[in-house]
Amino acid sequence: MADATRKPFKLFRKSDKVFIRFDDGGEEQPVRIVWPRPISAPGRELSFVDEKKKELAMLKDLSVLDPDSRRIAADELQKRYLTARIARVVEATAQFGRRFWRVETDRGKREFVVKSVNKDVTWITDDHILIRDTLGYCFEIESLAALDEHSQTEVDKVL
Amino acid sequence: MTSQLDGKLPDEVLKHLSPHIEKDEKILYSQGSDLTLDRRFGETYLVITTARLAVADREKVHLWLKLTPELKVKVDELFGGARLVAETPEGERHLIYYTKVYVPEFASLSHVINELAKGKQPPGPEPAEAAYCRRCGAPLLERGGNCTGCVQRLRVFWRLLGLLQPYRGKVVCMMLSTLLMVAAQMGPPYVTKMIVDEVIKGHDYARLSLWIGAMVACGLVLFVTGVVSGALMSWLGSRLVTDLRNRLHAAIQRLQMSYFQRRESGEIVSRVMNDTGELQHFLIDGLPYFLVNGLSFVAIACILLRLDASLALLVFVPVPFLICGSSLFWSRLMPLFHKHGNQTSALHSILNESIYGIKIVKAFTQEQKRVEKFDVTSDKLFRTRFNIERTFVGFAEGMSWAMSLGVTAVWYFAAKRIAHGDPSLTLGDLLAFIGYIYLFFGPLRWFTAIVNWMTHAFAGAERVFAVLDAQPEVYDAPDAVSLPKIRGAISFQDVRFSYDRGKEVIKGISFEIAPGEMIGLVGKSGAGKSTIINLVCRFHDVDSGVIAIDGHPLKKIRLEQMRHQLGIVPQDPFLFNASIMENIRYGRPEAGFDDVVRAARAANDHDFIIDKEEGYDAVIGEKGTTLSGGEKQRLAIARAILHDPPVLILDEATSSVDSETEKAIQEAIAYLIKGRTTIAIAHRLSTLRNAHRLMVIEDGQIVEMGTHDELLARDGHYAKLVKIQTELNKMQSEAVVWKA
Repeated sequence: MADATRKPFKLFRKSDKVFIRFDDGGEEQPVRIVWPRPISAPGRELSFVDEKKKELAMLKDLSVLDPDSRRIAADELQKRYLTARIARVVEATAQFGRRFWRVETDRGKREFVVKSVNKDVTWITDDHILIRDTLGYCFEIESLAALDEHSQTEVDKVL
Repeated sequence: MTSQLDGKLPDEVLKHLSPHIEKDEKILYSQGSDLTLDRRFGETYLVITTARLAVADREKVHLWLKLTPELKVKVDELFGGARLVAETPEGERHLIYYTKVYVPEFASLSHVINELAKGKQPPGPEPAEAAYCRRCGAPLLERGGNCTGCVQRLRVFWRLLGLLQPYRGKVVCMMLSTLLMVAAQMGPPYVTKMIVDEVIKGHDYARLSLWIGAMVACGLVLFVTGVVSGALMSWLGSRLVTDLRNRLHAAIQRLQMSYFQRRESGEIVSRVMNDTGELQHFLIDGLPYFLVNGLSFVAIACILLRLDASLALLVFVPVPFLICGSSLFWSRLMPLFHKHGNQTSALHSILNESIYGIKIVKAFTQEQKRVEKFDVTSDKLFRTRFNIERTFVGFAEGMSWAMSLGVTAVWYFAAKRIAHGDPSLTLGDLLAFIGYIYLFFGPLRWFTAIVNWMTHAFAGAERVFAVLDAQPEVYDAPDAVSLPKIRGAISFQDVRFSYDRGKEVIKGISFEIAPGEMIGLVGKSGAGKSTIINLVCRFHDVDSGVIAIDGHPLKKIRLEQMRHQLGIVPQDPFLFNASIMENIRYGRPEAGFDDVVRAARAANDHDFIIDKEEGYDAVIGEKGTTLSGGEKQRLAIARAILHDPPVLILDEATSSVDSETEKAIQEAIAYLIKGRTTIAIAHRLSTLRNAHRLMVIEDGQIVEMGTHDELLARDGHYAKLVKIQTELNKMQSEAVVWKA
């Protein structure tokens, strides 16, 4: 795929669907845009995958794309990754073998339960945490140190 | 507030929809999602009418789409959720976004929409298991599970009591001895009072021996009743939990396969062992403590009030503070306990990896890194442990101090009254008071902990009851026919099946197999081959269509009898932790040694078995003999040969073995299939060379069917597969030549 990554291309939309067309000709085809490292480095590299799950191109970041394509890619990624960033931890308790959280996030307020601290909590760094609830939905604390004092005390109670 | 969004549309949404609904149009279904269209937490509704579908929220209707045969709705999985996408002639439209919470609901609904668009009348969407408690709206630990916050303690308690029915006599004895024990506990402080007042102050020495005797008697009664009630309590607690565990295991054996499909096996094991273990622990240690101390608490309060009401009230003053203090303490301690548990298991898994993975650790010279990782986690554990102990000591000392304050207050007021010659209070009363106070305050510190503990244990019991109440397989339908000897004719008529509604795995399959015929199933993994086999075994019931054996629909044949006549050689043969002999005769435990040897010889097993030090007695398992993949597979074949079923199922019996072993297995199979109806799945097409007919399965459908030669001549899917494998084999043989 090394060659394909260097071939320039453009993205465009037809209704809500995103398509890719390489500048050296070839047909347009539907494309899915994903982050290869959605947990440890979201926003870093991008993969462009066709409908048969084959990678067509990989980019270091969006900057090499033309402005229109860049906008489409950014929008698609924002729609694909539904992780909520925690802004405040209102309450976190450990009771009866479950950890219950009540949080405020960039997507709004939410309550959730975490089953296993060892399996469902990923420490990306000492400060950066990803929490998966019992159903597989993800919450992110981008910086524990940047949270307010109350939130930090609550987090400390359960993690 | 998060809570389950069910099929009911809020009035505000309906208000926006109704003006657009035409006269003969009716709302059929609706489903709420927990994300808005700009993917914030909120509500959006997908509404399906007889002619259209709409996306709406409390503000407005965002979209209307006509249900036409060209419309197709599909699920697009996203990170943390998914969206429904509508494919229309005008292009693709994103309909609605939702988090993982509503994945089953929308999967089922998309199926319904597609059927409606085709003009069919599908049954409504299948109700999904709730992710939120239907009573309090709290998120649940597992879909359809119970809510710990809403555990109905009394109901669970009654149901547990019901389990004690057969042991009524012992329960009554236990209650009596507990009552007696509490009474005996009340004795000594009162005797102290009498000794002080009558003997020491009243100089009535004759009564000294009486009171000393009473004290000894109290001690003796306490000892005897303590032993009796303790023993009975342990017996009853253990008995109850053993009964419960046995019933649970029996219930699990008879549950439908779909129950196991949806859960990890570790989770079920934990239900049988941990949930019942927790209950046992509470019933043996917690409940007696609760009972004894609860009773004596009430008894002492009465005695204190009788001795001296005003002093008694003084003693009661600190009670609310002690209770508050102890709940505060436990609320601090519980998270620490959880932390401790997590860190301990984290340490366990590091240790496990270090030992099981030692070869890789050494090969990549990562020893130092492992040591550091272990040390860091170990250190965290130390800090948590220390924190727990420190909190504990602080609490214990604080409680003692608070209690001593109460005692001091009693000394102060009582001594003042006695010194002033108050006749209503004697020195004996004072000493008795002091004695009772300690008995009174002591248990207070544990009460909150025990209530928490009880909730936890009862939540476990409720989960156990949920399994006991789950729907078992129907072993004998009332109109089931008896088929003691199956001939082996199998037929599928337009069979459709899905593990999860909306994702059909078998999409209308029909075929007939004659008795004694061998059929090979070929196709990519995930095409539905194993599902066909699961359906023949009736591990699942079909969604529509009919599977019949000897002309009788599967559902109308007695289940146990039918399964007894199926033989299975699975891909990863499961062998039990028992001797080779026991494993071979698993399906026919009464078989003699001669029969076992005959089966083993037929499966090409005999030689390797007698080569083992313990021969047929060698125990298979972690502590016993380890077998290679090919040996395991051949043992499974021997097991099937001895079982001698009229219908045989081979699921990838020759995967993951070398060519030589494959040859041995093929010989075994050739012997095995004689005179039996056989359905075989194989990736290596050479395994299927004995098959009378082959079926190529793709995406849940039969795309080709015929003999090997017919299919080759057709030059289709099968021919392509054969070509690929021939090339692969050629490459392998060339590699061998090159190496030589």
